[in-house]
Amino acid sequence: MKKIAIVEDNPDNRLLVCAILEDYYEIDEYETGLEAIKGLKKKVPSLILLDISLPGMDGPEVLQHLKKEELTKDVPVIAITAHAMEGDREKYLELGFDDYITKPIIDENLILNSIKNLIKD
Amino acid sequence: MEENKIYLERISNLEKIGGKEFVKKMINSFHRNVSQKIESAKEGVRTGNLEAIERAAHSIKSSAGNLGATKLENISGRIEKIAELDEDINYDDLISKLENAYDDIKPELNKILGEFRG
Repeated sequence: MKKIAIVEDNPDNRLLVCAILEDYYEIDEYETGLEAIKGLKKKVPSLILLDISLPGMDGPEVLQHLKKEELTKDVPVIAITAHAMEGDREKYLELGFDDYITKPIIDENLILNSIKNLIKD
Repeated sequence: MEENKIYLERISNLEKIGGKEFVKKMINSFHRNVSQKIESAKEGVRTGNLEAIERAAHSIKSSAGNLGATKLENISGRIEKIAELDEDINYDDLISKLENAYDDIKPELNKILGEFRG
């Protein structure tokens, strides 16, 4: 099974994402950006789901670190965000994310399809 | 006035994802997270830490959204915004409204847990 990492401080959101994905992917969970930066170098996933609003180091900052690291720079990253205004997709793509999904996650197929489109076989 | 109830379609959706046991897990996790974050928000009010209030409200908003607790989601979203903008406002009053919104949905969540116990 391919591995997906989720970086999200809210335990309910991690629980929900894991339930959606666990039949299809192995999941590594991280609660903070700092934890993720250390852990992702050791266990490189096929894709990262990254919360924008993390405490301390936020999602975009974590992304910058990942893009500078040889092991993680080419791993696709999907932003998880509570904000979904017009122009947000372009904003997140400009920041370096490969896609974004909005919270609350209501349609599991949106996240599954987004991941399928980005994970290379 | 906004009705304070659970949007049951959201609960059905969770049940489709992981069954009744998963819904129970989500509700129990929700209670743990929201209780903890309400305390964090109160501590933020006591110490004048608006960032702590903002973060707590943000987390509650997300958890409430997962379960379709719309009024709680909206109140916490408003508190998050107010704290982010550093507004000079009575935060005690706002947190009290937040707590009331949470208390109001507990019976309905308990009812759902009871229905899923069978």
